[in-house]
Amino acid sequence: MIALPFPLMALAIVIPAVYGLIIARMRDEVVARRHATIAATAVLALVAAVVIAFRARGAAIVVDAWTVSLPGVSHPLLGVDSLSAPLLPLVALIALATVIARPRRIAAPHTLGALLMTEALVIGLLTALHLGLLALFWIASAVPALIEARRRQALGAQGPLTRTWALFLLLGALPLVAGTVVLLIDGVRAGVSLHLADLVERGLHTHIEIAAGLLIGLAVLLRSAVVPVHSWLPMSFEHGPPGMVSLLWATQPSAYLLARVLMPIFPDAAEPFRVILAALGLFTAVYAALVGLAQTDLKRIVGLLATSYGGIVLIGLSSSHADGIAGGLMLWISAGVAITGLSLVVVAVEARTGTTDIRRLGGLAHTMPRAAMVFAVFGLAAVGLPGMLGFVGEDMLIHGVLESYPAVAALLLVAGVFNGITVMRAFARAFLGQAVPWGVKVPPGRDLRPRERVAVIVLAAILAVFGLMPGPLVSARSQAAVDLAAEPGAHP
Amino acid sequence: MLASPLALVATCVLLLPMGAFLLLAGLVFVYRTPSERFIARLTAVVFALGLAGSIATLAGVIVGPRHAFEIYLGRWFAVPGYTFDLTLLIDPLSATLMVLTTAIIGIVGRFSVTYMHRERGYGRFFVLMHLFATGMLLLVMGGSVDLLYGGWELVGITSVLLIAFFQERAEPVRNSLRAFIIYRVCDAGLLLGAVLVHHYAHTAQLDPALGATQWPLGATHLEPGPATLIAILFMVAAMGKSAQFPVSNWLPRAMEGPTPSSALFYGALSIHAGVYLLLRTAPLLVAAPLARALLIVVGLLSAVCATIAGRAQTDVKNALAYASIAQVGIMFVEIGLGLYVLAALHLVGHACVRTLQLLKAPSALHEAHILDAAAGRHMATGAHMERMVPGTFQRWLYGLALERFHLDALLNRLARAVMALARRVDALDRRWAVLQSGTPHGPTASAASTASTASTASAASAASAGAAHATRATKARDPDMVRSGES
Repeated sequence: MIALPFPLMALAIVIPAVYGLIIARMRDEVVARRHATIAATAVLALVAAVVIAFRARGAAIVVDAWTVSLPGVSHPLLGVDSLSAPLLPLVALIALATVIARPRRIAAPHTLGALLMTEALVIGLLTALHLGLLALFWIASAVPALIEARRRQALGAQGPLTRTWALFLLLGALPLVAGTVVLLIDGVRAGVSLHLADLVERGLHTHIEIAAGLLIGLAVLLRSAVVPVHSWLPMSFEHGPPGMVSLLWATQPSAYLLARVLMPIFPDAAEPFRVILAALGLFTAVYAALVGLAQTDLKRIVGLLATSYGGIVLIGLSSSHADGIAGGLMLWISAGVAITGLSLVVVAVEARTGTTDIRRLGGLAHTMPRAAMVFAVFGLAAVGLPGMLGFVGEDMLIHGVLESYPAVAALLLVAGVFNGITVMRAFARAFLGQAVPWGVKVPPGRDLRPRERVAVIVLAAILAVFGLMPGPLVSARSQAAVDLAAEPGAHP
Repeated sequence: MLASPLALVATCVLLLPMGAFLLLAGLVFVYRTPSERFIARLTAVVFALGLAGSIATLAGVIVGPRHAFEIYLGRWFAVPGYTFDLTLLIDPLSATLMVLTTAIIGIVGRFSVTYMHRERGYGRFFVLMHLFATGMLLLVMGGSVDLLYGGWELVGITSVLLIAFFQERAEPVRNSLRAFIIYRVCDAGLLLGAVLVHHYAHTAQLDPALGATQWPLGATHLEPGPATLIAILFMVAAMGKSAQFPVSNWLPRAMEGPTPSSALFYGALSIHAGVYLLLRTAPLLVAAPLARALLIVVGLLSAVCATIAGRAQTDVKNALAYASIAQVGIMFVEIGLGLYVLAALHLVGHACVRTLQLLKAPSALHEAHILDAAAGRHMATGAHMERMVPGTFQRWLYGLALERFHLDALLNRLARAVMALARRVDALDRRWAVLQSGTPHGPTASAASTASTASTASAASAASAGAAHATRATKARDPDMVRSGES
């Protein structure tokens, strides 16, 4: 364990949170965006420093030392290990790209503020080493997006989303809170705290402890958007505040809770749970891919792709082989970046045409060739184009899953086939061909702006660079996978 | 590592088009499309050097001390229990294909410089051509099944994007989507096969897993059961890429792309990728008699059907497409019979002839006139089919040929069934979402909501005017997959 002399992680949470609150009250959009860019860049620099410290020292975990000086705290509260290290820069980069690329129409100061708040809460979630703190961040991370969705609804946007979303947020929060409280009460009796290190050391043995673990598992399932509790996810992509939704999805709070808490502290009872998870993940992956075939709205298509890939990541994490888990962790990153990139293009299209319905689009490539190129690149990257990161993740995942559940691997390919067709069909109908008579046209000169281009180039570069040279990322992820697949003591 | 100069040369052959692709794609996206002259010179240099390198490699393999060697480029990634090494396999088969690939792409590239002159999308065409060259060379040089799969996918995606090259017309776009669907479905076979090779042989390297270095005499260590399964999966992939029965009819549709790309993909290289895959994995086929029998059946059916259907075509490119399918079908039969060297020779010869024919296709009528004028009479081929088939049977066969053996109708029915299922599940899914939210949530609702959120006045008015049209038009417009078959 390495203690950082500066509270870098705490700053990475506090700066966007406070700055976000300030920005939300600004009046001028241009000024707000400038400040939001500064804040997001600062966060990126901070988390980069943390990750560099983690990589350079070669320690299992890097922590913010100052937290120990708080009253009643025996272990550090914030830290980074092999599981969270690559996710932090991912989140910071996605947030920065979203701030930069946001079309002016939806870049009101309050939206940018909410985006930064989401970023703060997500970084809190990824660095928390205490179950109570983690649960708090886990539940709170979706709240700014939900408030933003409610505000959009008040302006006349889609109605059903906020209710469904809030419902599932609440449903997911209840068992997590219950499980945490049970563990807390149980721990007080046994004299053990809720620090993850303590929990992992203790493991779950008594009936009460196992019940608490099952409650946390239920929270994971409800928030994972597995079928049949999935409707809120495509809906949130379709009607929710863009940017925040993809940021939240790229973080995969539920998969993180699974990998951070459940898998390490639940090693004995994990086997049946793993099978259930794999089955649900598989069903979700194939189901969402099938439903995706019938869609006509670009945002919903992206939402269903996200749902499908969420299922595939779950399958990878629930395979008991290190390569399957590492594949799941890789796909988590690659799908997160690719879905964010797709969302950025779709938002750019919507800002220029007022619609994302592919029945009214068509021939966009004539006047938006760069947007078309970016959509194709991110879409194909999402479905595993060789040379992109998704290919590496998919290859490892299918191999690992084949070792654990052979039939699942074959069915997984079905989902891959459907997702590929959905992406290509959306590309062909929205960007190629001619605009339909009742459709909308984009006048020339309204292709991606330079700032949008910068954002998508950065995201595409991540996919391409790590796709061509996956070695470092794979070794980092496989370390996390080994930690997860192996003995629980190796984990904080 | 790159121990010998020969290995260095061979690696450079692969890296040249890759570098050209990255350079051109980067320039197009970040800066602007480079001038035609720059692109033409870059292409000429890349393929001249590539061809020289390939010939040197082939010569080195033939006269050198080692007839086959692996180039270890490094470890791509590794997790406990699973490593992915980047290796290239150079043997007479792959070196021959390297020469063929660089020579034909170089020739077609030179042809395209003139043919595509001042065409909109000139830069895009060459970006995709260099990507295709990268994929094709990766496919023929890849030392592991995974690497081969990587090249295979790149070839597929460039093929699809080039079919849709004339993107302002609806037909090429639809046909490209059709080709993509068939590729995507069949490629799943290769991916699963690659993973299974890993699973059973504990490595994806062609050499130990499939005994490739003594091609075609190598032997696989796999048991007959797994070998048969993997060989059949590879055969499915090869059928998609090489347009064999019953998924052959995307090929004539693919001719909507620019003529040079048709020549490159469907006359010369992409169409033979399936044959190459089967040749490369020949040791697997030796252990799998069932797969060999299936290959013969598929090859024969393809050859016969394509020969008959090709005779009813009125378009020279379509006729050539069917002729290609027939020849590749014969190659499948040869491979099924174990005549690997013959199939390889057939492949090279056919690629050269067909490229020439396809490149000359745009001026075919002109040439026919010249020939007729020189001969002083109308030059017609003999009515072979009419002589062989009895009269009553002829009309029926003609109808069958015009309908392309109803294969499109069959696949369309399948696609329609899947789409119907998807729509039904989608409807249930939306109903389930409504149950949770308590508010209607459908395409109409979303279209209306989009209109209300659109802040720019023009967009809002366009949307509200279009929403009604769009909903009315939904029923009239079926998705592409179904429509493409009806057209």
